[in-house]
Formats: sequence, C-alpha cells, structure tokens
Amino acid sequence: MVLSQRQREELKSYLAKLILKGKQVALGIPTNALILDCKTRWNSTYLMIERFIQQYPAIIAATVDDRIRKKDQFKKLQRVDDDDFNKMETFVQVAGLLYKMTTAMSTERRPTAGMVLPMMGKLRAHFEPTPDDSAFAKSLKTAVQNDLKKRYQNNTEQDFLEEATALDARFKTFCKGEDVWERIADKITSITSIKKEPELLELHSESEMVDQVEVKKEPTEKEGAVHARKTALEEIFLDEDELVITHITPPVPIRVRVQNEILKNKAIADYLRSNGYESALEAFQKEAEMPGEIEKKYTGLLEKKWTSVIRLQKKVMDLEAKLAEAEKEFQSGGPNKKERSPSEWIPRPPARYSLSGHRSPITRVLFHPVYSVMVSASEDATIKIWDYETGDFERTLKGHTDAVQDVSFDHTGKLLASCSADMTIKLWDFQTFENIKTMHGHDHNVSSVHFMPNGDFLISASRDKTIKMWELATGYCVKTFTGHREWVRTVRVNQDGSLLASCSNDQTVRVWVVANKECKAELREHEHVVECIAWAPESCNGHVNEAMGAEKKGRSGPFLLSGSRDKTIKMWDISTGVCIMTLVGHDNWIRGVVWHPGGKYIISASDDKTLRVWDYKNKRCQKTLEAHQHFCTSIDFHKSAPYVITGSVDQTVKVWECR
Amino acid sequence: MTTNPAATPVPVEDVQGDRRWMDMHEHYVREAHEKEPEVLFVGDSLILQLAQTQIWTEKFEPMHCLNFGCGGDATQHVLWRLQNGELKNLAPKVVVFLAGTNNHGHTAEQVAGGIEACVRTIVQQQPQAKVLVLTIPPRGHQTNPLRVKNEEVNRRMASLLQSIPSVQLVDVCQGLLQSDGTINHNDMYDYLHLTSSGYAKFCEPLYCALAEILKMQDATALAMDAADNLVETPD
Repeated sequence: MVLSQRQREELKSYLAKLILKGKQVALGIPTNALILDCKTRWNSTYLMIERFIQQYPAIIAATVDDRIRKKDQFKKLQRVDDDDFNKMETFVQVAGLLYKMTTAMSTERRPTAGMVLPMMGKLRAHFEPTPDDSAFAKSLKTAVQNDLKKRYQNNTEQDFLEEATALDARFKTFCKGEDVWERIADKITSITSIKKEPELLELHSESEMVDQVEVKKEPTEKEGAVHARKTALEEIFLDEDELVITHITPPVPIRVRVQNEILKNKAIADYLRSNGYESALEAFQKEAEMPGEIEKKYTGLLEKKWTSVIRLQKKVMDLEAKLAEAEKEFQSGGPNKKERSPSEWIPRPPARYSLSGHRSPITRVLFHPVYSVMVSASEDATIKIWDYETGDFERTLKGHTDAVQDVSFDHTGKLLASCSADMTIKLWDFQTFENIKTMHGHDHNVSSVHFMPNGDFLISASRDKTIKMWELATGYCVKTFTGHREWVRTVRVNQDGSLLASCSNDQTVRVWVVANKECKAELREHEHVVECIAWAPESCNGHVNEAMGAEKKGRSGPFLLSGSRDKTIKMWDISTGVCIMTLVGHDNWIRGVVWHPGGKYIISASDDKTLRVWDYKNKRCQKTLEAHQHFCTSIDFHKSAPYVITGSVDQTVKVWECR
Repeated sequence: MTTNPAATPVPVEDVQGDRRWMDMHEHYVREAHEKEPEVLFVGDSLILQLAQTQIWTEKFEPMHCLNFGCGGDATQHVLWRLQNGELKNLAPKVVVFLAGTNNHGHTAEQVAGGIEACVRTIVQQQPQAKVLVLTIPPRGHQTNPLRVKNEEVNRRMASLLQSIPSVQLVDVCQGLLQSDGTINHNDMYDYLHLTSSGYAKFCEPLYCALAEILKMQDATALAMDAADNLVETPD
C-alpha cells in the first residue's frame, strides 16, 4: 500500500507524539501534549511559556531521536538560544505570582474582599527588585511595581479592606493594626444596642486562638486532580499556612477520650482491689461511677501500662538495631568480605537457592564429602540429590516405604546409608544409585544412622531405645547398645571412631566406648527431649579452651554439642562429663547444631524458623537468619566450601552462601 | 437406667460412599503414632477448620499441635475415635476438646453427658494432660431452639466438669453474639462456621489458657502487646 504525502505527514506527526510521550515518561515530565488550544489572555502567554520550559528537555530529546531525525525536518526547527531561554525562565518566576493571584481570584468559590490586602502585601514584597536580578527581571518588576503603587490609595478604601481582612477567618493574622478592632467594635455597638464592654476587645485574641485550630483548606474541584495540586490560594499562602498547621495538635475524638478514661479507671480499680485497698476501692468506684464487677481482662492492666513505656522503648531500640543491621547488610552485603578471613564467614541472607520438589517435610540435609552435591531426606519416603552450586535437581532415590529420617555418607562418598520410619536401614551405591542392601533388626522407627570412619560399620539409633552397630559386609547387627530409657533420636561417631554419642527422649546425652559397649558418660542437664548432637572437630579445641578463659589447665575434650527441645544448646567436655556452656536464644525446639569449620562459631536450626550463628567465645548469638516459613528441621555446614544447607517442614531445602 | 446415645461410641456410617470419615480417622491414628504433639485438638468441624486459618499457622503451630477434627461429628462419633486409636502412642501436655453442636435429636442433658464421656476417656488415656473443654458457640442468625439447647449444654458442662481436676472449661463465645442477640455474618459466614475474624474472637481465650498452661513467654508478650495498644496519645 502506497501512502499519500498527507498520510505520510500525519504518520510522522503521530509518531512524533508517541516518541515525545516516551521521552516525557523517561524524564519524569508530565505527559501533556505540546499543541494546545488557548484563549488569548496574558495568562495564556504565561502558561505557554511555562509549559514550553517544562517540556523543553523532552522536546530536545525527541528531536535528536533517530526515528524523526531527518535532515530536512531537523533544520526546519527554530532553535532557542540560551539567552532567550533564560529570559523565559525569569519571566515564569517573576510573573508566576501574578498568574496565581488571578487564578485565585477567578476560581475561588468565595473570593472575598478580605483577600485583597494580604495579596497586595505579597505582591509588593515579591516585585521589589533585588540586587541579584538581571536587567530583564528588574525591568519587569519595576513595571509591575509602578502599577501596583497606584492601587487602593484611597483611605476609606484602605479602612474597608483592613476590616474585611480582620474579619476573614483565613487572613486575620495579616492584620497588624490594633485600631482596626476598635473600629469594628465601634461599628458593632452602633448597629446593635449592646453596651461597649472592654471584654469585647479581648475577643480578637481569643478568637484568633480558636480559629487557628479551624483553619480549613477550601476543598475545590482541583483536589481530585492527578497530582493533587494545591489551589491557587493555597499556593500563594503556603508559607503562612505551614506555620499555623505545625502548631496544631489533632483533636482527640470524644469517643476515644471517653473510652480511655474508662480504661484508666478500670485499671486503677483493679490495682486497688488486688492490693487489698477495699475501702479506697469502694470510694473510687462510687466517685468514678463504675459498676461493681471488674472483668478479668483488666487484671494487672495498670502495672502493664506502667511498664509499657519501658517495653515500648525496648521495642523501638530493638527495631532500630534491626533496621541498622538490615541497612548495613543491604548496602554492603555484610561487613567487607576482604577484611574477614574464611574462618569468619557465616551464612547470610538471602538464600542462594530455595529448592522444592519434596512433597512432605524435610527431615535431613547433608553435603557430599567430595562432589558438589547434597542430599535431602523427607517424610515423603524419598531421598533427593541436588547440585548445590547450580541449584539443579539431579535425581530421586526411592525405596523406603515411610519417612526417611537420616542419611550418612562414608568418607569416600561412594556409599550412602539411610534409615526410615519403616524400621529399615538402606545402603545405596552412590555411583549407580541403586539400593544395594536393606538391613532389618530394629523394632521401631530408625531415627539416626552414621558411618564409622573406617567405612566397614554403621551405627543406628531407634525409637526402640537401642543403638545398633551393623557390619556392612554381611548386613548383620553385631552390637547393640542399651541404656537409654526412651527413644534414641540421634547417634554420632567421633572422628577416630572410638566413641559414640547419642541423645534421647529421656533428656540425656550418653557417650559410649565403641570397643566394649560401655556407657562412659551420662550427661543429664537438659529439661526436655534432646534432639541433636555434634562432635567438635579438632580445629575447635583451641577455640573452646580460649572461650573458657583462664583455667588452671586446658581442657582436653573431646567436646560435644547438644540441642534440645528445651530451647537451649549445651556444650560438654566429655573428659570430665561437665556442661561447660549453655546457649540460650532460640524460641522453640532446637532441631540441628553444627560447628563452623573455622572453629569459632556454632550454627543451629530451630522450630522458631530461624538459623542462628553463635559466637560461643562471647556466649552470644551473632546473627539470626529468618530461614524458612515453617520449622527448620536440619542443617549442615560444608567442611571446606563456604556453604550451609537447611531443610524445613515447609518442604524446601535452602542453600546459603557464607561471606 | 437408659443409655445415653450421645455417650455411646459409634463410628460415622459411610452414607455418601467415599469412605472419607474412616480414612480421616486412620490418618489421625497414624499421626498419633508418629508425631509428638504437645497440644492435641479434638472435635467437630469447628476444630477441623481452625487448622486452615492464619491464626493457627501463626499462633498455634509453633506450639507443636495436632488437629483431629472431623466435620459433622457429634459427641458419640468423637468418643468412638478417641477409643479407637487416636489417643494412642502420644503424650500431649494439653488436649483441647469441642463437640456437641451436631448432636441433633439429643436433649441438652444427653449432650452434656456425651461430652463428659469424651472428657473422661481423654483423662483416663492421657492422665498427664490438661484438658480444655470449649463451650459450644452460638449458631443461627437469631435466637433459635438449637442455640437455647447449646447454651443449656454449656451451663450443665460447667457444673459437670467441676468435679474433674485436670479439666478446665474455656468460654469461647465472648463477642460472637451482638448486643441485639444476632450473629454477625462477618463472624460466622453461614451462622455456624467461623470466619477468620470469628476465629480471632474464638481463639483469644483459648490461646491465653493454652499459653498459661504451657507457660510460654509469648503469652506475657501477647498480653503486654495488648496493653501497649491501649496506651493513648498524650492529652
């Protein structure tokens, strides 16, 4: 289809309009059209110039846009030179007030005579030439001023205008003369037959106070406009209004005031009653006109209110601290990475990956000792393998018929062991991903499994209160450790395979000698089920001793961590069987604890949905991460790479980077 | 002495044909076997639907709860469930019970007897637990015979349960009846089941009672929060 010349021209100007709009939006300038229909008044000239200046940047941008920049079009444009542009800006600034005033006069719902003097005052001040003004500005201002001087010179006119101003609620304050009020009072008394009372003169100062509260903004049709523009009158007297408004306190509605009174009285009555001041109570109730019974919800209210300031203060301080920390984190991504050694790198939000796929709560997450993969076990009876560096899902291991409770790798990473509520332990070849063995023997839910360092044996713990050792070659149970009085939740072998630690629903942690099944220590201090335990790696021993401060001789350890449903984490010195430290802070059951490979920190996961990093030397929680939407059930820290993984009842596994 | 039909355990007959009620019961038995709740909720649809609310997720889940509510259950049905495995293999610290509004055709005396039978079963099988029995909320837009009956059941319960030491009656009806005796549609969307705002009123006394028993710090914090909100701007 061939376009006619006219059609082409139309198309170009339509395109130009679109481009202009695009530029306006990009520059944040109101998207008004350039060509307007205006009446020919001087206000229109003002408006046109104002609009032009506003749109200038967009116009320039549009004209240099490739799409409409054709040699001939471009040259046709009349350019505006700097001098002209400056004059336009000056004009807008100087004449702006005049424009506003005429608008105010003609569009206000109730233009009153009281407006005149305040406006004249403003005009005179505005059009006073200053030394900084350019020649153009000066000439403009002088011209207007000369005209202004001729207006309202008549004395009777002046008086009338003064009185009008004084009586106008909006402009009272502009009236400086005292004699105005005299004149008004005189006029009133002459009209009415009231005797002239001296108090009448006090009226104006009182009423000034009352009316200041009532300064209303005139609602106009413009209020609904897109930019919520102020009316012309509001714009003119912006400064004066500011002054008045900031001194007003919003009136408390009567209903609220009455309610508060009742509340206060009830709180006091309750205090009197609970402290035995019966006669005072009676008298108070009579005077306050309170009915006999005071509802339960007012008990202790007075005391609570008393301490509320302190509590609110504390809340505010906590929030401020949180905000400061969050801001710092947001700006710099945590304290400068370069200044911190890897042993100080801790997991930081946001999570690198949030992996979903499991259809039930996650029970356990674990890093592979060699490859960059990790596994997650779930109540959906499956085990899933993920690449934690890319966030990719690799595969699912199916075989168990009930929730998988725990998983463990041998030190080469070639074998994976898993245990389940289906009472079995399964062995998986991590190269073919096949289930190579299933071991039966426990009478109940098997809740924990751990490889011995030599890789020939496995340890398991069960709800049947026993711990069993299994020979992998044959698949048979070769030892059973009894002693716990309840469900054994977790069992962990130490680094050299000589000791076993276990924790149980019976609230104790036990340490066993593997060789002879002897229970070497029974650690009894927790006040609820102990859920998890973790042996300290060798690198930590020095730090732990440091943490314990000046001791007669250093502790040799080994050291063990335990996490419990009593919301605490305890550190134990196994050589003496003593609890050397208790970390308090979590608000719900502790589900997992790990040592930071660098040795300075402990990381814990809890049913309060958070991860906490503990600087145990200073016995404080260094960082709290809101990790999941539901209970955090498991946590693991990579022994050499800066990653932490967590699993949760919310069915996701999250990978956290440490920095 | 005639037997009380409201206190004679009987399962729900699968009239519709999808076996849902029995499946739910079996699911609950499995959960009772596997999970370790500290608070157990048992009852009818008012209990069941509570688990779907925001207030459950925010306030009750952290307490490690299990919900064994079944829609439409009358006291004799809940009793059957309690006696057939739902109280086995767990040891909660608190059991919360609500049923009775579905006992159509039974007198108030019989319904109260049915509730007592359920409560005694719980106390017997879970001696370590405190039992919170909730009052039956009002129903119907305006006053009606069912509402009157339920109110009488509540009154009878108050005296019946006094004799059992570990049992506490919690009144959850506060605020549900407006001053003119009608129920607001915003509190009960079908004048029987609760909306989230209805549940907010329902749960307040329940949560306070639970928190007190479990001696949670949250309770004090909650009360303090409430007190803080009453602090008015300076005059």
